[in-house]
Amino acid sequence: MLAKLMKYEFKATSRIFIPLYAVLLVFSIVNRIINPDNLIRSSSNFDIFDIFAIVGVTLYIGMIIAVVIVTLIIMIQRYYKNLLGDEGYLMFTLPVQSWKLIISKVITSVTWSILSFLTTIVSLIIIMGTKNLGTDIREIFEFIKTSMGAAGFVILPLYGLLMLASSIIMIFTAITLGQLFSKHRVIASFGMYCAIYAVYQLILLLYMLLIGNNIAPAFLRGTPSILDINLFLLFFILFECVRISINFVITNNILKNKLNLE
Amino acid sequence: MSNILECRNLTKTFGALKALDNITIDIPRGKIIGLLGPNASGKTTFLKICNGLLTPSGGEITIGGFKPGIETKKLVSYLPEKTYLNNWMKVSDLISFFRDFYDDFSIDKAYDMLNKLGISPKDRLKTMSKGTKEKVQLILVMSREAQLYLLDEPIGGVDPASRDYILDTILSNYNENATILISTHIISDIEKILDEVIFLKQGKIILNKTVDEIREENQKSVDSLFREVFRC
Repeated sequence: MLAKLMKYEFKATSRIFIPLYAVLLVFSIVNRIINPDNLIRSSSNFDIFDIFAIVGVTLYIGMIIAVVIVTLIIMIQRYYKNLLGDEGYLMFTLPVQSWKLIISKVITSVTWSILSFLTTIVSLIIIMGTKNLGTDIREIFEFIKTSMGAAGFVILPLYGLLMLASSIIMIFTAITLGQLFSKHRVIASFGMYCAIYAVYQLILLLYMLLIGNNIAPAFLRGTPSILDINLFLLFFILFECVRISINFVITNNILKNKLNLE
Repeated sequence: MSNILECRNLTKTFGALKALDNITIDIPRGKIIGLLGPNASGKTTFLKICNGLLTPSGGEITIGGFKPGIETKKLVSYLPEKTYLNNWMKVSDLISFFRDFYDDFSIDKAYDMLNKLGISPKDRLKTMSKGTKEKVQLILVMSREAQLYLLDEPIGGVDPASRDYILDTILSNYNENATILISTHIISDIEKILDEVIFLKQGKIILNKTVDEIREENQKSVDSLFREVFRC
């Protein structure tokens, strides 16, 4: 059933994301051909091409911001409308466990966030060209290797993925908690997000103080070893795992036992 | 187990408002039952609780022996009073959606009914009128081989000519062991197919009889009894 839910979730979201990515990429190619950067620099006096170039760059930056915002909005809207709005009448009468509904939304949201990120990178590469790409990537890899060792190539992506999933679930938790209120549910969801965020920041602070004694000295000396850095990140990974679990259990419990659709 | 649905002291409050007030009722298998009452009498609230879309404030409800949950959702086919369909989908997309999630969904039945009501499976929901959407929704719901159909105002937004076809559809898809619970306040059109009626008023059951009993004891049609009981 999870696979079926995800099939429809991707179907519902791809009709927005695919055209969005296509527009961004096409726009990057157009920008590349016009090459605004060169135009601005090479022309000594301001002419009509400069205006085109500036407009092009501005539009491009606007597009990238749009991709980020659309990704976020679709994520929230799919959860809110499809589960807690009118469409919830269909989704919650399917013979499917509520945790599968949540997981399907989380997996699709994580996937689209990653794809949005990758598309943006690709579009930047299109604009800037591939001249130094090889050496740049090699430098990044080298940096990870010297500071974290081979483990870095597992720990860094894992941490990124967990942090992404964790932030998404936290948004879902806030929206779900907002549904416990009988009125002003949208405002309540927003308030809940702020509240949860504050609580976790506080816990994180205490957690840092707790583990700080072991890790901090090495960092303060300015010579953290490979092990220190990896341990440091592992503590954060642990924190994200706990945060994901707590938020997931809260969300699922409300959807399963305290659902009150309007 | 002769009852498909049983509830004991079911109560639902919204703040100070009692939408359902201590309802106890058994609904047998193999009947067509009208859930009748004026606006805001608790009909929709009751059906939403049956489907697990609302959590009761008190009391118990079981369908086929289970509390509302994944097991009851396999047994119940629900037509809400809202349109819950994705606007961007085509009718054919919805049909595959239903087939994917409900084992008891019959594709042939669905296409047959669409055909009879002149709705093209290629049409997008977005382009449809409210009435047509309601028809599509009803077709999807009635194409399931469920044990309990919970229909919330199934004919409210549909023109009288289609009403007859829809009522026929409900009747002809009605298998002997299944129960259909229809909530409505348009009684005259639906009276002829009902076996029993439940009158709801301000969250309380004030009458629960068979249609024959009403005709014998009160010498009245359900419609005129309704008008009498709920006179303003």
